[in-house]
Amino acid sequence: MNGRPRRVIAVAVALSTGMALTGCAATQASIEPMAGNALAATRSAELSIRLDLAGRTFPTTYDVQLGDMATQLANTISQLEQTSTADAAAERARTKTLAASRDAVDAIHLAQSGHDVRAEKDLHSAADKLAKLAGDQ
Amino acid sequence: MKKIFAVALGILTAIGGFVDIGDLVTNAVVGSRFGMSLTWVVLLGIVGICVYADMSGRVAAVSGRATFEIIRERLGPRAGLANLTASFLINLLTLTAEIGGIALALQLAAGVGPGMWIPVALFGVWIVVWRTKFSIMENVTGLVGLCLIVFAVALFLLNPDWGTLGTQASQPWTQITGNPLSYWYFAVALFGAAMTPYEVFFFSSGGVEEGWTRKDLGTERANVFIGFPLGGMLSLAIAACAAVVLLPKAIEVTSLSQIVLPVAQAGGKLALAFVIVGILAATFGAALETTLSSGYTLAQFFGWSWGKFRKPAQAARFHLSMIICLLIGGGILATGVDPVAVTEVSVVFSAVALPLTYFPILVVANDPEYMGDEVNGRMRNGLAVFFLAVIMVAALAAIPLMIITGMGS
Repeated sequence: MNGRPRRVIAVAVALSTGMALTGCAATQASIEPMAGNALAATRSAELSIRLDLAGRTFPTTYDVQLGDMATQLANTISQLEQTSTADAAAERARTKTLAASRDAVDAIHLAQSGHDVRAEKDLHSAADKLAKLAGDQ
Repeated sequence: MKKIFAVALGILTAIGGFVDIGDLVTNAVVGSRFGMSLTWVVLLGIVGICVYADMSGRVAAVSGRATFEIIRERLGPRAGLANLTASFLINLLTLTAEIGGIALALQLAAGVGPGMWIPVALFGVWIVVWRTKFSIMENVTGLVGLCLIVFAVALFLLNPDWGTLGTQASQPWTQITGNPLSYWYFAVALFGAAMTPYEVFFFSSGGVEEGWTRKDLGTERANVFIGFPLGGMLSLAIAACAAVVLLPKAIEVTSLSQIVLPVAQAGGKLALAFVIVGILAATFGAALETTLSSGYTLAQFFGWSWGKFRKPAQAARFHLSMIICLLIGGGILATGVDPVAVTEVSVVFSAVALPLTYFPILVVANDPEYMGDEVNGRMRNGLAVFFLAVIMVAALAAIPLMIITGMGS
């Protein structure tokens, strides 16, 4: 093999490695959809709790709704945990989204153990944080 | 009087039986993401399904034979096989989604995980298909499915800003945020959900089951042109409820339990009870229809004895094929796959298969040998060709849009 094809291969490998690395590392903008997913689940759980407090839902349906939202949040948390970030700003967004999502899951567990009022407050606070991180969706 | 009762019953069951898990999920997802901006797609889908269901029903009433039988005879085994493959696979996927929908509806009522309800749903569908008379099966599920009218009632109780909903519907471009391709992906999915192939095959085979003749063409047309559009209005009510309650809170629908939230907010426990019963009836009815459609398509292509008007022993392969389809559907769900994800995939692939399903119906409806003086007129053919063009565009765009948008995310 002569020098030219080797150089071409080396450049191609370097370019594809670079593209793969930058493609894998998340920017702040790519954290936003994950924050959006967590926000949707958090607000959904919050609405379920409000309906339960107002006596507008069945305990069975309420349990299913909380369970579904806890699962959705757990999926987002797992996705965030596996995400590597491209820069410090993205890392800050990832950490904050992760923390707010974990708070939301804790609040759902609180609601599942019967502490609806406190759970609603905690979910509201988590939702506010997530809304900012999701770009005020 | 008896005739009027039959027509009214047909219309009511057509309304109650129009919505299935695909309509429920897709309309709620779209309403929570894009408001009413995809109303035009629902309306387009309703007119499209009316045009082709009417053709399919007319073929059955005039020829006394189901559409699929004639397609194979008229177009030959090769074209018939393409039609069979596309329709059957989509039907199987839809059946899987409907069984999952029954399990999720039972979970909402009982609180126990859907995995436990899948065998119950499979057994329930099989026993009804095996034992119950066609007319009872169709009328009971259709009439109980009318409980879904609670979505329309809930919409009024929510006292929405009708102007905003109207603006969303009439100026759809104002609601497209983020990736515009996601909007088009959901447009295709919604069109696929409205024009699910099993609906026309079930309608045509059902006509044969009920012994339709030319005299029943009036009933057939009333079912299609009154019942289907009113059923389609339920689809819009589902989207509107999501647009009013979930969209402002940025809640994107990802599970069946979220679809009932606006109804519970509007009408409390009574409305919630109605919507759960309605979802159960709609998914159960659609599961019966897709199970029967699986048997119909196979039996009509291979020339087996078929129909619920025959005893199971006289249509053994027809009944065996339905049992196998149910087991395959149950097997897919037993892997733990999310029924809502199956539904989303099924409506998109439904769009892909539409040309192979609907084009042969158009050919048969134009053949005077089968249709006599009831062949399509210019107006009907014009509409059918227009919808075939729309169907082609949707079919070609479906898979690329699904890949590019990551299923609309």
